[in-house]
Amino acid sequence: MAAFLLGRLASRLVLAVLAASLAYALAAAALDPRAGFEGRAPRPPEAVVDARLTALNLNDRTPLADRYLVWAEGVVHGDFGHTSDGEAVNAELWRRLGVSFRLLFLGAVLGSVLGVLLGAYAAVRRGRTADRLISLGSYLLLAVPVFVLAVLLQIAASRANRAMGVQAFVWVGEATPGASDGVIGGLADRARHLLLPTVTIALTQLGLYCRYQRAMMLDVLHADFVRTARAKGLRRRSALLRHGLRVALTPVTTYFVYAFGLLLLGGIHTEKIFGWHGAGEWLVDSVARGDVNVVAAIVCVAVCGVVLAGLISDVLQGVLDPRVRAAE
Amino acid sequence: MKRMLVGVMLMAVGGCSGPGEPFTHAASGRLTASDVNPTPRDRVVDGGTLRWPLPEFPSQWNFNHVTGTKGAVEHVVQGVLPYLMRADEKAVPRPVPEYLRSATLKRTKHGQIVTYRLNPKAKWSDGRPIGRADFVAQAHALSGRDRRYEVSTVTGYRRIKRIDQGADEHAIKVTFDGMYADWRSLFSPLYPATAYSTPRAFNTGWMNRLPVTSGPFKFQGIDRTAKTITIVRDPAWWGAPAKLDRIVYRAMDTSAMPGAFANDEIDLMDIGLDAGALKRVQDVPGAAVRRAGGPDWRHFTLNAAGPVLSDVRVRRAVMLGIDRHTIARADLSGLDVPVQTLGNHFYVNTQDGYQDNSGDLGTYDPARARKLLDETGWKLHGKYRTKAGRTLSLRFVVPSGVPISKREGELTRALLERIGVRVDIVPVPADDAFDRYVAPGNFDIVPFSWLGTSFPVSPMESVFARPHGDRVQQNYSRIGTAAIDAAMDRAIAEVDPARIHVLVNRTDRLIWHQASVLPLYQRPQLVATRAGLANLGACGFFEPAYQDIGFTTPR
Repeated sequence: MAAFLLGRLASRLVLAVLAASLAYALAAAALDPRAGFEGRAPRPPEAVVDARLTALNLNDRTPLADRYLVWAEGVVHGDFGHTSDGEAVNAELWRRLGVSFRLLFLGAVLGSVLGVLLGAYAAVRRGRTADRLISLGSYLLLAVPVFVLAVLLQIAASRANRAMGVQAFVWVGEATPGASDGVIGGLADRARHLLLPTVTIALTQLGLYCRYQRAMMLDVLHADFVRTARAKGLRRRSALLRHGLRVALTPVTTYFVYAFGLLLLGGIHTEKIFGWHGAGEWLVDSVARGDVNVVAAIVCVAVCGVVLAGLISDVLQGVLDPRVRAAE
Repeated sequence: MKRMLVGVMLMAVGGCSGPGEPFTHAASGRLTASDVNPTPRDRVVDGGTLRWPLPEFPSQWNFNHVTGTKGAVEHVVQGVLPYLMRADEKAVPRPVPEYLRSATLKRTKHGQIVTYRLNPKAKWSDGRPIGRADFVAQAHALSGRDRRYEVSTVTGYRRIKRIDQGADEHAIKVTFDGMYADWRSLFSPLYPATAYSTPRAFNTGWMNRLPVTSGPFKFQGIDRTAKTITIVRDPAWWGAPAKLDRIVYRAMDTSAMPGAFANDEIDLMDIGLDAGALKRVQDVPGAAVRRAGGPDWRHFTLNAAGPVLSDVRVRRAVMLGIDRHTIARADLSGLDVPVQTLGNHFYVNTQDGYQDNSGDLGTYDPARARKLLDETGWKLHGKYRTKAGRTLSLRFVVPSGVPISKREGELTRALLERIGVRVDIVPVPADDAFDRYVAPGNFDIVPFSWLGTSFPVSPMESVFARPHGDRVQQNYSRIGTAAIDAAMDRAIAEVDPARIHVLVNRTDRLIWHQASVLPLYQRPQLVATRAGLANLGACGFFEPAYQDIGFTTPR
């Protein structure tokens, strides 16, 4: 299994370097950090803007190849350069990734686990009322855009607050600024802030996994090995759980690992509407601002994430699917 | 660039105070100059926390640094740094007594001398008195003479020749080489000498911190993960103590603000021109919507270097054929504000000195527009006019994703079709709109907003000055005259406010005559606040006295 993983790792690393370089070249060629300065009235002195852009390796009058080399040298030393505000990208990147992770992890796990269970249940109950209801619900969730769902939840929550007369639901940011109720109070405050975003993410993820798992499960239910297991005398329940679900779970695991990476960057709407300052929001704002180094850094993280996700899913597949181990 | 096209509403998140006019817009059909729930200090309770959203989170808190000149920075430093002058609701700058006793101007043979008499009690949080050293450091840093200072602009400061001590230690004499009308805009805010004495301190000393302050509030802390900054009441403040205990500024996307406001997690928010957001916050119990005329103005820029619009008679016909009132009414629908067109290129309706100079170009007159076009040889053939085999058609550039611009384009198309002019709406990516279309002159008509200030002449100089070849600065109409340049120079060199108004309006009439930029309306400011929030709201030009901000009921 080690040789198999090493081989995969090498080819993925080459891919990662290529993808990151391309991403930088694209960002540096397409984005224009100068525009933000030139649109102001009164306009800043040109010499100042030029000097500043050069110092940050963002000057569009420096050849792209030179800028790339400076950037690549930094990245090799683990330094992603500076934002157009003059901040170190690295520190902000870790802060933002931390926020994204705290915002999304619970919702993603909850959503996918519940989705898988509901999907499996629907598949077993295929065609009956339970299946119909679950399908209807999951289609509805898939059809509603995240920001609509989030705003609806917010409206409901603030109505509930008003009806109860206490501020039970709060959601802006990770915590109430300046609230000092000790460790326990602080944690409770954070949990309260996490509630609504977690529900939003869990619901969107749930719809997706539910459909996916149901389809996988239906394929497996009629597979020969499940019938064989039943024929050997296993009960329907254990045949389904031990043989059916386990096999149907393999592709979903791969999907989860990749999807979580994408979710980390794709949680833009959730982050923006709930006032959390994560990586997704940063990416979108940086593209709008023409902040090349930030965009390149986030794409690099995404590339690494995909490589890592691939590796993890390889390992998981090896654990779940004996054929992979046997293939060596 | 994008900021000017689409993001103007992101610029200011409410904030001003002072003796505003009573709320009369609905009765008189005009926007008030400011609407801030003015309340005497004895009716404002002591204490409380104000939660104030910012549309972005700055890392540079030096307002004069090239990356620090932002509305968000201003909202914070206005509470913690000296402002020698603050504008009232009509944009007239007045001395702030806690810092400045008086400022007097004396003309000399070669320029002007301003003598500032500072308040002797004024001092920095590190104990040093505010004095000449601070003036010298700021004037030097912002003069542009030392290239290592990454300054946002050198306007004004580069004309300072000398700074001397006056009769005593609290009097400062600033000598200018020439006349400078907007001298009242200088030293507001004033940074301490320690911050500006070296380029290094200037460029990096105020990154993520405000080391020295001098105001009713002092800096408490920044949370870079949550993107919040907190300022608290400063007991060392020598003026009337701040009513609020503290102000917590919190960065959040504008899409998060209505929900946060409805759920009582922030105390005010800028609604912009978003009728949907207005609807959402209007129904919140205990909330009030404040409305006032803002400093920014919406307009159409006509490209006078284009093949069709190079003829001034065609430009005039286009202006006569556009019903500005209809466009303003469409843009402002659902906001419950009076619709008023703007007749000036420098002042907005609520500003001191404003006067409608539009003359006969200001009223919709399709009959005269048709006649003008007939005279120029563009004859009607079927639906549109043609001349020498060419159809009279104009490219109306619209940044995509900006619904207001698109609607303006469609209205203009319908209006101009009546006089036989074809309008082709060209949607372009919002990020490219300025670089690839407006700046190179690749358009005939483009709608956007100019950000206004209390000192409109020097910033607008780059918009109306005659272009030199490809160096157009911000004159996207690419036209100008020696007369306009001279008129603007005279206005900038004048120091008497009444004379300035006369000279600026004279310049404005010349620009109307040139028919290159069509002002539409003054952008209203809509700010939702808790009904009990006093001395803050939709401020227009008004700059706040932060110590008076507070709540009328305990919170």
